[in-house]
Amino acid sequence: MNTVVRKKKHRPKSRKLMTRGEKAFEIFNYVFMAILCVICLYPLWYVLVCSVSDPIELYAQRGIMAWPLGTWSVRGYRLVMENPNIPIGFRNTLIYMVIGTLVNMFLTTTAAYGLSRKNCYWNGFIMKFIAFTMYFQGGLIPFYLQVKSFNLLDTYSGIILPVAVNTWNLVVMRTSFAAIPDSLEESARLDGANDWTILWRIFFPLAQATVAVISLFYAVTWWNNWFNPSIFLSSKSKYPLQLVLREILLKNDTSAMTQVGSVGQSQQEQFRMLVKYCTIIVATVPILVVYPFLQRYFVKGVMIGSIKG
Amino acid sequence: MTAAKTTRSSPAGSDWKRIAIIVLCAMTLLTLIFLPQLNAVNRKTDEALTLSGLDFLRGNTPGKSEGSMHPMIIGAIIFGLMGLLVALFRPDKFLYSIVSAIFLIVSVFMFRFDVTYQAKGEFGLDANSLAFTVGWMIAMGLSVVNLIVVIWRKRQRTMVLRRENLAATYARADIKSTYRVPTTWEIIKKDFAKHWPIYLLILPTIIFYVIWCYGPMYGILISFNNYKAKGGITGSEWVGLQWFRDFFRSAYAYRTIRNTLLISFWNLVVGFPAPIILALLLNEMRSIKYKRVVQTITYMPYFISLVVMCGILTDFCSTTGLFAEIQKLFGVQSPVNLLGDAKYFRTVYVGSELWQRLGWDSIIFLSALAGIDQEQYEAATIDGAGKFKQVLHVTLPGLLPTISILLILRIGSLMGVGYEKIILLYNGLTYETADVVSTYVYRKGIVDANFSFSTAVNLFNSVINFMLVIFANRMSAVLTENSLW
Repeated sequence: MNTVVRKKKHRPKSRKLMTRGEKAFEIFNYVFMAILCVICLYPLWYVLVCSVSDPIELYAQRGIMAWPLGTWSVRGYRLVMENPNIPIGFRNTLIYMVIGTLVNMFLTTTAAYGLSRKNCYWNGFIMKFIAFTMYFQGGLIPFYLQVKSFNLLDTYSGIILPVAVNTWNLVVMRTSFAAIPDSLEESARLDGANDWTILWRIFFPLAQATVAVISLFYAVTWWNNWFNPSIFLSSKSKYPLQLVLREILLKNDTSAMTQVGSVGQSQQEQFRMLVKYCTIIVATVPILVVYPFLQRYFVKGVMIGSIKG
Repeated sequence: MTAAKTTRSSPAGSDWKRIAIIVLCAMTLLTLIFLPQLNAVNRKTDEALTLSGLDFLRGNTPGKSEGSMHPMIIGAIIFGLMGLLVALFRPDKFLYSIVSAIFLIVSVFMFRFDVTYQAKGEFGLDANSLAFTVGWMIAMGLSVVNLIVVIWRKRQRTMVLRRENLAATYARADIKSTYRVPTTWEIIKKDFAKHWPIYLLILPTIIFYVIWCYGPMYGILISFNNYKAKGGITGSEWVGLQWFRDFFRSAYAYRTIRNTLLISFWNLVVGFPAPIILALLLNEMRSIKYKRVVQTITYMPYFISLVVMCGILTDFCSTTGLFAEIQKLFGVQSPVNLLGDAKYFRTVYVGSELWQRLGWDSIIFLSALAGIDQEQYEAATIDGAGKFKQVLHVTLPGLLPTISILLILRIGSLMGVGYEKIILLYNGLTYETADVVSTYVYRKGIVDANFSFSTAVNLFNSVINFMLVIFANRMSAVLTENSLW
């Protein structure tokens, strides 16, 4: 299998003189990377710049901007904050994220521990039973009907329970548990530990890195989750943030504006645009702020995921 | 496992089992041929008398399943023939064949039951749905039994081998031992007594899979009936393959399948090599700091949530948005709304996908690059290979396993274009190029509440997908000796 061996990059230190072609390539490479960075960053910068621009000028003339138009203003942000749906969305997303990730992690760790034990007669069969679901699913409607038949439509548990385990994450977790030396388990057993203790006192702390990565993956999935809530939820008070965003960004829901009396009818269109940009920033900043700190975990996650489970 | 390959001397009594299977299969086929006569004996109905076995096969029967080949009969034929072939050529797998043969017989009888009662309405309950339900349940049950039996047999064979090996070892060493290798049942009991806490830990997850993954699979049944909330999954009127026929006769079949394949194809062509090239370029960068910065920045778009990403995209694509301004720079007089024109949908979709995933997808290639032995480069340099030749002869071969396995994954999901992004991006104006199978399923099922039809379309898609995965995996196993399982 293509196990990815991570090795420290070891380049020969002796730096020979570069040929002309190599030099040209190097320059091209650096310029190309710079352009790529601009392409990756500019859309966000553009949105940020728009969100603090003067709404009327922004509406009249946009164009390719590098700097906010007119006098800076935070009026858009104030409007966003006054929209009650956004704090509700944040709160709900937090609920889904915390409870959901806890449920995810509990099931994933217990099952991964169990399945990583050797010499268990049924483990091979259970693994096949689980892996099969990666390749064949019942589909959208049967899934929906199943949720419905359990009376879980429009409930918090209806969002969390049907996706309580992610097969891929389970497989990754199992691989990392299986890599822990047997001797640890044996010595713990000699000291009288049972499986429950071994799992939480020995395996869980030892596989900390993987646990962190998998919880991050689950948390990000919860943060991005919008499709299941959009078909299972009917009351807006349970909407996660992404669904609220969808209403504002893609369905042109202007209820945020009509609730706020401070904006006149004529200015609605201009403010709607501004509010969109501000909403994007408000909803993206949390994840972009934490991302640089967590980046190495994510990268690690991709790499352990690439090792076959 | 070398042990499995060595053939075991066929156990005594396998001959009668083999003959039994052949007789069973032959009986079933005879039943099929003489079905009308049997019907005539059992139920003296005129209709049953006029039908021949061939009519059943062609689905040329009165009643609800008229004109379509009964799925039960298709399954029965496949399983029955498989059983027959296995019995004839691989007599050591006799249990498998027995199960197949039983499946065949039960299916045929269920089918007869179904058609006879359906036509006459003689059964007190809603006859056709009842027959179908029972038949389906038995079929599902038998398939599961079949699977378990195959796995069981494999294990048992290894057990027998182990026993024989042990006996042989003892014989060779001339040891008189009273040790007896336990039977499979004893092993299972002992295993459970010893490992029950472990199974208890797995249990919640198994329950999850049964309810939320296998439960919906049972729900696939509704693609063969006309689902009504009142009748439920099993109690609704049975319509056979009507939904499948409806789908393939509609103009949507061609459009959605074409769009799915085209979007996948362009996504593959553009989105697959790009991260490899980026990884190669990043690998050539000398300044570690600059490289880190580039990596951090290019990974970032991946963390923008889909909804926000599509929100930004719709804004940029509008007639006054950023892309319009860029078009103006290139001299386009009146830029169009890119998301309002079917011509541009694929470009926007594939482009945005590339923007979001480029950096992220390169991680895996970068880690594969780091795993290439540096000595190979040194050797290549000594042999006089330039940078380009090194890439060609050292780097690319080193990446090949990773590339092949990812490519296989991509090919395996050719028909699996997700609905999430497209639902957020498309509109009535772009259905012509944007509507893929999964979004059609979503629209028909969730929006129009046409549950059965939607499930049928989805089932068709899942089956194709499943076959693609299996095919891709086989290809990979043959070509590169890397496979997913």
